[in-house]
Amino acid sequence: MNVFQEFFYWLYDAYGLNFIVFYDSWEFNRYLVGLTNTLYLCVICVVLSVVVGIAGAWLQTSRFAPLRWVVYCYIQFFRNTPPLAQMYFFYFGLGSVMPRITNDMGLQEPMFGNFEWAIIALTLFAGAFNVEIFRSGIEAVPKTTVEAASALGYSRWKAYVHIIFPLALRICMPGLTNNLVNLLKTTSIAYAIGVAEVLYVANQIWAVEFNVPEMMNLVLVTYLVIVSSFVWMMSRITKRMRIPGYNW
Amino acid sequence: MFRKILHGTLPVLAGLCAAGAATDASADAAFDKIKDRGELAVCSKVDYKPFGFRDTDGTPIGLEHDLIDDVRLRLEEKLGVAIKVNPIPVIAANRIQFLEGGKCDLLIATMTDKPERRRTIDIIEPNYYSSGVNILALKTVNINEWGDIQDQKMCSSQGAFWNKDLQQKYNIELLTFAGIAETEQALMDGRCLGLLTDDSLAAMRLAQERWNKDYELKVDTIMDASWGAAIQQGNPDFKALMEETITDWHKSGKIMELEDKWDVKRTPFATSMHEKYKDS
Repeated sequence: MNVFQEFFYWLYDAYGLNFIVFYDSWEFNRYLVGLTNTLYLCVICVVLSVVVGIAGAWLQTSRFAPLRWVVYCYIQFFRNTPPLAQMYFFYFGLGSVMPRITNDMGLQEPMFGNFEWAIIALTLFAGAFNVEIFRSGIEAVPKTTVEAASALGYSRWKAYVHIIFPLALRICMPGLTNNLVNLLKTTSIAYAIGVAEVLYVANQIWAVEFNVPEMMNLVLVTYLVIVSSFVWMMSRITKRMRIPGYNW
Repeated sequence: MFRKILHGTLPVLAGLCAAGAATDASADAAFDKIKDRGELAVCSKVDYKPFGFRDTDGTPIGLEHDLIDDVRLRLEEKLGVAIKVNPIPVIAANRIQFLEGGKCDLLIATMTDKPERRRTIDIIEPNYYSSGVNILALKTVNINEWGDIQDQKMCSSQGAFWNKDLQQKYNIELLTFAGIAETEQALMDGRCLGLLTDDSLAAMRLAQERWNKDYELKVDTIMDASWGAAIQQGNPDFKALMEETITDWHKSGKIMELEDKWDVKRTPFATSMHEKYKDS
């Protein structure tokens, strides 16, 4: 035991505060795996959901109506159902009827495991909100600016890439940050389908050690650190993207 | 004269009051609460056939719910009021917190008696039942002994007492869920090589055709551990009543009777406890 571990063992011994992950290296590694999985989920889902948001917002400006309807239906479905229910639906509902493949255990397993389904569900959930956020940004770009772009000979696509989207992105940064923060916190529901993320691991630990208050505190602090670092990063990006003289 | 009498009686009165106060203080909070509300809140299982599950109309029934009803009858007799049972459905991962937090007065929910659990709640002696852990898996899966699950992915229930031990011993990857139904679905979907499960629950599953066609128990049951009923700490009277009740269950052979009623294979535990207590 090092000094750090000894301190937490002493804390348990003297005050009954059982932060077992800080003095038992087996539990510590377990918690570390949970933390890694949470971060992994966060990074992948943030990136993918932003891609979904941008693509969806672009499709919404399409002149081909059925495409707009598809995006509309997608948004309605994912915005109006609870994420936990979506998670169960994907993993147990849709997951069970997926084509089966033989896995390395030699069993017939449906395609996509719990981790993949968690990523799909969370991405689509946050993506739906992102579409609306990007759309609001696009709609806020002054019409005159769009007309000026086309007067300068920009094609629809080029105007979107070089003029409309860069401006829209700056407008929707606050809303986007909000939604992505929400997404980071929502990753915790992946524990319902057995993804070994922070909350899941904490639950496994407290089920044996009965240190629910301590683990719950640790989980909250963990999320607080993750989310506040993310918010800090997003505000840095927002500042870096600021165009002098162009404020809303 | 009057003053003399007064002086003589006062200490006696004071003594009586003190005695009265003392009885009040020793009376037990759980009893008061149950009596006041005419209700016994019991943390119990509703997803653990045949020990606790739901009837077609939604009422919780099963071996443990029969035991709970027996406790209710005994409480009615003891407290002299009508009492109804308020079943609080729990899962392994939340039952102890529910009892500790006072959401229920009594816990009879397939809980294994463990020393670390006794630190926060009172587990009643003697234990009322016993079971161990086994592996339920497809007949075609090649598991013949516990060592065969080394480094494999196994399904289990969140909060099951064997999770950590087996994980440490065999370095298995655990896929756990909150409810029993989810663990079964995951097993049937081939998400894991096998399901770590209570042997008594598995035996009951294997009595059904949808299970025994393709699945079987793979190994010898290990970690045989007994189930304890539990109450909140600091309720001596309720504890005494529960101790007497469970002793009676073993003495009269009630547990074995209920095993027969619910089609559970008789456990060596129930039989040996009956042998032990029948002449006491």
